[in-house]
Amino acid sequence: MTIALIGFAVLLVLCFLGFRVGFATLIVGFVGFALERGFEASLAMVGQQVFHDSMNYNLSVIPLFILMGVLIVHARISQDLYDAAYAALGKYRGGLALATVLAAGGFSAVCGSTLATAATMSKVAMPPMRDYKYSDRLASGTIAAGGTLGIMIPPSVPLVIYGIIAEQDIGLLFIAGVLPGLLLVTLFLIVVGLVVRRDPLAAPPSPPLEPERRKEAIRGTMPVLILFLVVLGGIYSGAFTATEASGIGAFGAAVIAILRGNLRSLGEWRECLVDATVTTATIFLVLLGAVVFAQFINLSGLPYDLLDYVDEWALSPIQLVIFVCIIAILMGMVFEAIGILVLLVPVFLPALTVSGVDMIWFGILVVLVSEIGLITPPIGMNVFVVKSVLPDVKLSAIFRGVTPYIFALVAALMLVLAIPQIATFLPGLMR
Amino acid sequence: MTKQPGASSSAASVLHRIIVMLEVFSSVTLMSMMLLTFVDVIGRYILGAPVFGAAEMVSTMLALVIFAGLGIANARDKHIVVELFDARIRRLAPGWYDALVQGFSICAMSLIVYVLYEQAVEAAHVDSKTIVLELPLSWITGAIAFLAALSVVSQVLGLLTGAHTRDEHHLEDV
Repeated sequence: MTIALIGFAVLLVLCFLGFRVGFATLIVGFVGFALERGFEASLAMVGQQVFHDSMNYNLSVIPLFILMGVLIVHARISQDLYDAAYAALGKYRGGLALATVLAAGGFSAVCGSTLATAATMSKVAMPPMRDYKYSDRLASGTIAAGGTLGIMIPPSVPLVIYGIIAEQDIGLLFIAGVLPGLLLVTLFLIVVGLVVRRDPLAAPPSPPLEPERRKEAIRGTMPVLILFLVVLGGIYSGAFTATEASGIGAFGAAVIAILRGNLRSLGEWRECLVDATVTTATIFLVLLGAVVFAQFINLSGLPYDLLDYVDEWALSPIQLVIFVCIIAILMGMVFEAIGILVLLVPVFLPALTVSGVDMIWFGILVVLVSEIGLITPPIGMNVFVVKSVLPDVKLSAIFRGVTPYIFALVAALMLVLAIPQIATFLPGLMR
Repeated sequence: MTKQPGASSSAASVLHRIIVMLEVFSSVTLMSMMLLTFVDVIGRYILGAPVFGAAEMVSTMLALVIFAGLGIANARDKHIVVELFDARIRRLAPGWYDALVQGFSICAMSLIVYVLYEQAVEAAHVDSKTIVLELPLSWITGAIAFLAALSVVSQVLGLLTGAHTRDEHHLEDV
């Protein structure tokens, strides 16, 4: 156990010093394993893990869903989504902010990238909110928080990675993310309502959408809705596996982009494909580093020592889950979703499994915690993304703007903790 | 740590060619992966005739996409980084800091190249093949090892030419 703790400490120091997370986990895992079992054994282990996981058919879901998200961004569908959401909610006070939340939810349903959602919504939703004198705090905070929906509403790359690490069905995880995703959208809409009620000047009234534009926008969102229903419906009905759904989704996104007049040149295609490739490579580097590190951690016996502690402290499953969630929240202040998943899940996996925790439910909880990390200081990635797209908005204004949404995320976390059926009901129907 | 302008520009030119090659290769491979998965599903559910060995082909393409992508990511240093104290530490001695951090990444990537090369040699030694299509695993692993080696070259050239830009890390892209 001591060597594992030293390994974790070294890894954290390397990460804080700015060493690339993927390389740092790989090297710490390699050296740790070598200290326990010898240099040759460690080389063989790294070779097998790297080869096996980089050729794992089930993992092809990652590049294909990433490609789907990139293609949807290039389909430039976000404006229609935003206008359609505004057509539905524009009559209420704070309509533009409400539309931002709804459009972010819709975009997440076919994108799966939190950063892409935040960046796209910054470009689409901020100009009208500026035009109608919304406060920067409400506008930018809503965009940053709306982006977090990207990793809960399926397809979601962190859920895929969790599924691989925890050996859970990715299709079930996607389905499990639907109701918590809708819960989050509802809570975010309530937050907008409360903020506007408290400070009406934060969201002056805006005119309704012209009827022609309303029809055009609703028509424009239909392909997105169909794609979402095909991908998720295919998984839910058992017609496709998640891997097959990712291929269908990426192909469908390409067709949507082409039909909307985009992706007509080789250059545009290359830009999309290279973007998806590089993102895939960076994620896989962390994943490969993590599996090597996990081998070292397993060999050290730490997960089984934790199991003994759980017995010794007589922790109930819910207490154990809350304990792990607290650690995840602390990690979320520094690490993003993938970092939390790859470092935390393997360590607690045996204890959680033996305690009889539903690992689909736990996956949703970990992703919810990761969402909190995306908008909390010191490293709230979504906040920084919004700042980079809107450089004239003060960072402090965005952080103040996301604060009510952090409460909404915590409320969602507590609700899913208290009522696991929010996450397990739909997968239960499939089992 | 001064650089010769001539050497630097030729290094930049080599790096540019490597990146273009990797971009074209990875784009074609990823596109093929998407089309193959789509055709396989349509073939299976509509025509009742899936593509023979599609899963093996997709697995191979996945590995090729990852390691071709790593070449591009390494050249531009687009990796996940915890940006908390690094900027402040780097300001103390930027040259040494970059050499240390990038040197560490290069060592780690070299380790991957070595273990993949060993896997390829082992596969060639026992003449192992994939189960369905009977593709020689030594060729597949060898190709992946080659791409990984190319990514080390692009990492080194990226460091020498300054292609690593501090503001473009993929902190988290999901």
